[in-house]
Amino acid sequence: MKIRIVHLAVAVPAIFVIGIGASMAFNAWNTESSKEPAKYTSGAFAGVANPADIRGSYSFADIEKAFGVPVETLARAFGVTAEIAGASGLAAYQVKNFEAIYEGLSETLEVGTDSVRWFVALYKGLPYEPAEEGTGLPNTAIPVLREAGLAADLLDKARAKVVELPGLANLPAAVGTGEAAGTGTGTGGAETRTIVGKTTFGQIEDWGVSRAKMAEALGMEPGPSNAVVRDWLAEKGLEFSEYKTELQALVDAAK
Amino acid sequence: MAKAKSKSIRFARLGVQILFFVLIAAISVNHTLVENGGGFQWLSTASLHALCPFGGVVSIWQVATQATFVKKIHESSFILMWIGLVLALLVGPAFCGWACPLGSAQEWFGKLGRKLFGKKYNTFVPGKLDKALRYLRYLVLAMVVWNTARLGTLVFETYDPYFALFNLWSAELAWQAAAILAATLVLSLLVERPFCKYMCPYGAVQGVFNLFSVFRIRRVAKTCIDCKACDRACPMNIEVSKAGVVRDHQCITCMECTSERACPVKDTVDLVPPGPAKPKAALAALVLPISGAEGKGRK
Repeated sequence: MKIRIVHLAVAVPAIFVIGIGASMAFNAWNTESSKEPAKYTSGAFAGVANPADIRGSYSFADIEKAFGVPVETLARAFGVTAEIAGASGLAAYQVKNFEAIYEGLSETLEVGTDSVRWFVALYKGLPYEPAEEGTGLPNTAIPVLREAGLAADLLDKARAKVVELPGLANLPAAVGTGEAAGTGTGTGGAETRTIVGKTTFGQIEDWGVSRAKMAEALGMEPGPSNAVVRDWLAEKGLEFSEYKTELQALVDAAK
Repeated sequence: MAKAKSKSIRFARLGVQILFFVLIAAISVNHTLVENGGGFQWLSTASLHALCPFGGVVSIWQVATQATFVKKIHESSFILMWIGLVLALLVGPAFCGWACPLGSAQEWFGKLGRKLFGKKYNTFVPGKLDKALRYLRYLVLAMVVWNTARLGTLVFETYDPYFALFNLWSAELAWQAAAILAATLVLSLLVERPFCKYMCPYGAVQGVFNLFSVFRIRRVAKTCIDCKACDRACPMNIEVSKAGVVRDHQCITCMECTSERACPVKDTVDLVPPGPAKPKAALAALVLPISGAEGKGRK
């Protein structure tokens, strides 16, 4: 028995076609991950989807489906506009794109897939430690986390790893509708950056005013990032209106 | 004795190589188009990782120990790995000689090199150095498998010229892989299939099956006229003329040496089932630099 060239010319493609065809018939031919993240196997969160298994190929829609974080929230947190997402849309926007579009924004921090894992964990109150020391979060993620009710200590931890995104201060309405807009309610439209009764120290910090500058204006260390400025001052027997103008001037200067 | 070689036989392998090359290129382009909101629904949108049988090889440890795939690797890689192994068990590393697009690209560049350098082509590397370098791919294989198992990531992606070949337009392309691809193609002008010979970890896996495959290249000494046409035709520089049965770990089952192609004598060099296996000789074929139970050593 002899194998001829023509036999092999038929057999090589045929073996691939038969092998792939058979695996398709048994529903075993998968060229994409299932987008079903691994679950915590022990502890209080056993059985809950683990953000550590989010991969670069996950789209915003995949994350919404697996973790319940809305596409719009993810887009807003990571500064992705409809223009950035392009024709495929926000829902199909893949996490792996961040490493390319946000490359070089910081010398020490990086916004990438691990940032999304960390954000989702913080947003959903799930345990997760960033895999790398240099994992950062975009500044746009902080207000989203604050509105989600993130604990002050975790919010401060996130703040310490913030990477400023250029040119994203005013996100289009389609993406940034949830911004607190200075009202502290999270229901405002375009961002106004006006200090009002419900504005928190964290919001002022998000608007570009450092805690050192706030301390200068207040004559003391500012309160925790999630503290409402007026309430915090009232607790100290101070009048909000006396400080509001000076803080607002700092916000305006930081624009 | 001498006979005309038909055109259909001459172009049979080239046709299969073009088929696989075009298919993989088209799917890779489509994958990028789909990611950017375009593409064709009738064509697979799989990533290149999903279509690489070596992805299955490097995932074996993670699948065995954690029942998960290495990141970016999917069931399809595993299925392709099994298809590649079945093919290799039957006829040796035909995947390398007939299907691998990177091997084909090197071969096509080599045709240009052959025109440039004539008979000197594919003889530039000194014999001793060539012999030693041919075992490098086993070291590459060991390093890739070890580090993939250790880190759980596709470590070879950064250096993989196959990935680079079909991702030149992608943000995922690493400069190291692009550089290795460029070096491979340039070296292909001097040496036939340099990456296959010296570096390819999947070629290393496939090559081992030359010791066990059901069908192997066999030379019939009785009718051989010792013209060495088979040696000259072999892209992997195997001395077929000194072997009874080719068990060289570098054979890619391209069949260029056979009586249908280079050998001028009918039924003298063919792909046939060998006689009873000789394990000691087979092991020696891997350890020693030349193939075959009757092999005499490389140039």
